[in-house]
Amino acid sequence: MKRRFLDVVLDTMRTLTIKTGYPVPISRSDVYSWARELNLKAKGPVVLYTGALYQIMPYLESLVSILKRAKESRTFLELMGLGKRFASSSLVKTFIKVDKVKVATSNAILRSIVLLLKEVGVEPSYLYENDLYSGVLLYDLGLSETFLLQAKRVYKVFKERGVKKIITVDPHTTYVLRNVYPKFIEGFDLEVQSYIEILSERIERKRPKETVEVVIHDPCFYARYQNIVEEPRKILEASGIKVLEPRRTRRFTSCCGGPVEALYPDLSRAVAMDRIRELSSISKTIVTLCPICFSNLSRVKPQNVEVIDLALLVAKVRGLMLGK
Amino acid sequence: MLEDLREWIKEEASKCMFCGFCETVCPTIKFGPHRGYGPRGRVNIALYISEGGKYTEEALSSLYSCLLCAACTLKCPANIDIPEIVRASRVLYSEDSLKEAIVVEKKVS
Repeated sequence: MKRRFLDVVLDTMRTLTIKTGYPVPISRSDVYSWARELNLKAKGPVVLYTGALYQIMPYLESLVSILKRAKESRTFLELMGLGKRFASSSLVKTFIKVDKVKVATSNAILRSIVLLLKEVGVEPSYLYENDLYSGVLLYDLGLSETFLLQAKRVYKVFKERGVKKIITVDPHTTYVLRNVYPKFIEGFDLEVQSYIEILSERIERKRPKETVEVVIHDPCFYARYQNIVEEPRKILEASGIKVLEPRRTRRFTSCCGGPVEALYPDLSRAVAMDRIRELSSISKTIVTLCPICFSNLSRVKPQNVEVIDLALLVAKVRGLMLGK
Repeated sequence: MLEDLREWIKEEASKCMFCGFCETVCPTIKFGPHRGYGPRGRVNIALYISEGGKYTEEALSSLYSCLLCAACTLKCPANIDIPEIVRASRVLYSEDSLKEAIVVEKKVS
């Protein structure tokens, strides 16, 4: 019987997560390399948990392009179907080609988040090689058994390190930890807050040298699932950035198309183009708050349009030194 | 557990009165070949699956092309949890067709 492309994608992600802790072929050192030179403590009750979503996006793009090619070649598809073998490091390295610029951007965004937290007096610890994937994509794709396995692994890491509070960096990880983990993990007692919520409570006004004007793209998982709408606006405005609103905004925001990128790349692209047209008609600088939005909108943007992550923009405007 | 899920989908999806308000905000419907690419289609395909219907290619495309963006939930007068119906149907597919629990158990041991 022919294997469905859908089954190959699901199986690849499941196998990789079970074997490596991540749904894409990324090494653990590539997950935490962004934190070098920041001197974050390895232990402490308040922990920064990236859930690796920013880090895996460039790898996911590469994996998707391989899967797309595989879709066209039957033999390759069968080979990929072996999943297990694909997950072995040597084969992965042969196929995965990651865009170094995108990796550097993801790392710079994460560093900006830490610098912004430090500016408001929050110094979290970091998990380094234990900064595992939250499993959110597996949950969304209905792979509930694998998700549960991963969630238990992640929770164990928190518990072993005496973590009491988790600071998250993206809407999907925040949602899954705060709203989904407690349903599946008995006795879940960790406080979860996004860095956006923390900054919005503590950030002080600062005027930039020149006025910056941006259009904001609310991510569905902040605006609709968690009612985080005013917080990013407060952070931007406190940094002297003028925030313009697109036609569909706040709770009525429109999706970037990213979540179906792996399975329906053409559909995903069409949705992203539609959204970028709407956003860029308001301003040529688009601010995103989510690694999936950032990745998907960046791929289809015209040359004269800039898509920038909130953390990176705010850190730049506030004159925080990012280093290399 | 799986039967509970099937029952929940049936109950929740049966609330759909076919008004189609959800289709005005769905980002995928205008780029798909048929109404299965919109919330009303997805809810009713989920209902069909939960009642033992076949996982046809188009039924699967309908369920897996959903972004789970939840824009439709703002418009639904019956207050149906559409993204959760879609997600639950994907769980059913993983269990029915891939026998996920068995695969995971085998791979972990």
